[in-house]
Amino acid sequence: MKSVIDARVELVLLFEMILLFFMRLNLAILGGYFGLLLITIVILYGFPSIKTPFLGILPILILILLLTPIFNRSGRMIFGLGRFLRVTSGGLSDAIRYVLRLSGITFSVFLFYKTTEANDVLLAFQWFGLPFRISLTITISLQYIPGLIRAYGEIMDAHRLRVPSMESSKRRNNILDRFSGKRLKGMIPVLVALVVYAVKRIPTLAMALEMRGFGRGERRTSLLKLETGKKFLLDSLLGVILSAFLIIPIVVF
Amino acid sequence: MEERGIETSLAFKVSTITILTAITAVFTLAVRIPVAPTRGYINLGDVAIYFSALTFGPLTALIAGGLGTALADIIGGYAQYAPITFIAHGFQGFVIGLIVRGLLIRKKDEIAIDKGKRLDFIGLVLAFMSGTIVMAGVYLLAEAFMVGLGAALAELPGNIIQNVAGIAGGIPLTLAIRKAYPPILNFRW
Repeated sequence: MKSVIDARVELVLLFEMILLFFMRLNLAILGGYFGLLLITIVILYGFPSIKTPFLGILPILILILLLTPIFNRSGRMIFGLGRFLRVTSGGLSDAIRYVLRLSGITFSVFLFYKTTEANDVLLAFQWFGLPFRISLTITISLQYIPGLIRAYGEIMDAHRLRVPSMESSKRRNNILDRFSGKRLKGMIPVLVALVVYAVKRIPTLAMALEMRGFGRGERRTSLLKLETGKKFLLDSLLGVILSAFLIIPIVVF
Repeated sequence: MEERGIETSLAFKVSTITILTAITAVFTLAVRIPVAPTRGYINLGDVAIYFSALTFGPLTALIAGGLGTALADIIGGYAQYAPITFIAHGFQGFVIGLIVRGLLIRKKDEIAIDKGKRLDFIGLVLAFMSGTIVMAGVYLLAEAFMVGLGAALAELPGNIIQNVAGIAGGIPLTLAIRKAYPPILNFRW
C-alpha cells in the first residue's frame, strides 16, 4: 500500500499530535482530539482495527486509573475508603489526562504506521537529516530480523531433539524450574548458536557493502526518493490546514 | 576471507552494528522466558545489550542496543515507546561499555572478563549497577511524564528483573561466544 499522505507531512503531523497530548490542556479539548483521532481510524480501517492497539495498552490504562489517584490527592474528595484510599477531583482529573495522553499517543503512532510505508518513513527521516549510515543500518537490520527469527526456531528445534527433557511435562510441573534462572541457563547454548550464526555474516556483509562503494566518501545516489512535486505541495497544504485545525481550539478556548 | 584486515573499515563497523541491531531485536521479540508467578514473560533483549557492551564497547552498544530494542518495539506494536526505549537501552549499553572499557581493560588487547583472570569484580558490579540505574531510571522518568508516577513505579520492578536477567545471561553468553567463535575478538576496534 502506498502512503496516504506524504510521509514527511505525516511525520510533522505525528509530532504535533504527540506534542498536543503532552500539553496540559483542558480535558474536554484533549478528549475532543482523541475522539477525532478514533473516528478517523474507524472511518479508514473499521472498528475492529482499534482492538489491537487498545489491548496492548489496556493493562497500563488500568494501572493509571488505579494508581494515579493515590499519588495525587489535591482538590475535593469524591470517594474515600479508610485513610489511604481516597479519590479526589485532582487525582481523577490527572488519571483521565494520563489515560488520554497514552491512548492519544498510541493511536496517533498507530495511524501513522498504518498510513505510511516503512520505506517512506525511513526516507522521510533521512529527508529531515537522519544520517545515511543509520538509515542503512536500520534497513539492513530489518531484512536480517525475519531470517534470524527463523534460525532461532530451527536451533530451538534442534536442541529440543538433542535434549528432550527441555520441554518435558516433568520439567514444566517443577515450580522451581518455572522461575527463569534454570530456563535462562538452558537457553544459553541456543543463544550462543544463534549469535555465532549471525556474527559469521559480518565479514560477508562488510565485503558486500565495500563492493558497492560504501564508505568511499562520494555523494551517494538513491533509487528510492520522496518526490517534491505537486503531490508533496498539496499534501503540505493539507498538513498546514490540519495543523491550523488542531491549534484553533487551543487558541479559542 | 581474511577478517583481520577489513575490521577497521567503515563498512565493517556498520556491518557489525547492523548485525548486532538485528540480534538485539530478535532477542527482544522472539526469545522470551515465561515467569510463573506473574504469568508474564521476560525478553532477553538486555542479554544482547550486555553482550554488545562487553564485547564491542560503548558506541556499538549505544547504537545496536538502542536501535535493536526500538525496532523490536515498532515491530511488536508498541511504537509509542520506541523513542524512550532507544534512549533507555542505548544509554544502558553505553554506560556498561564505557565502565567496562575504562575500568577493566588496561592494555589495548586485554579482554574484560576473559576466563576470570582479570575479572575486576567491583568494576563489573559497578558497570552492571550503573546500567540498571540508567535503564530503569530513564524508563521511570519518561513514564512518570507520560503515564503518571503511580503507573511508572508499578513498572519499575519488571524493568529491574529484566536487567538482572540481562546480567545473568549476558556474562555466560559473552564467555561462551568467545570460546565458540574466537575470531569475534578481532571484530573489536
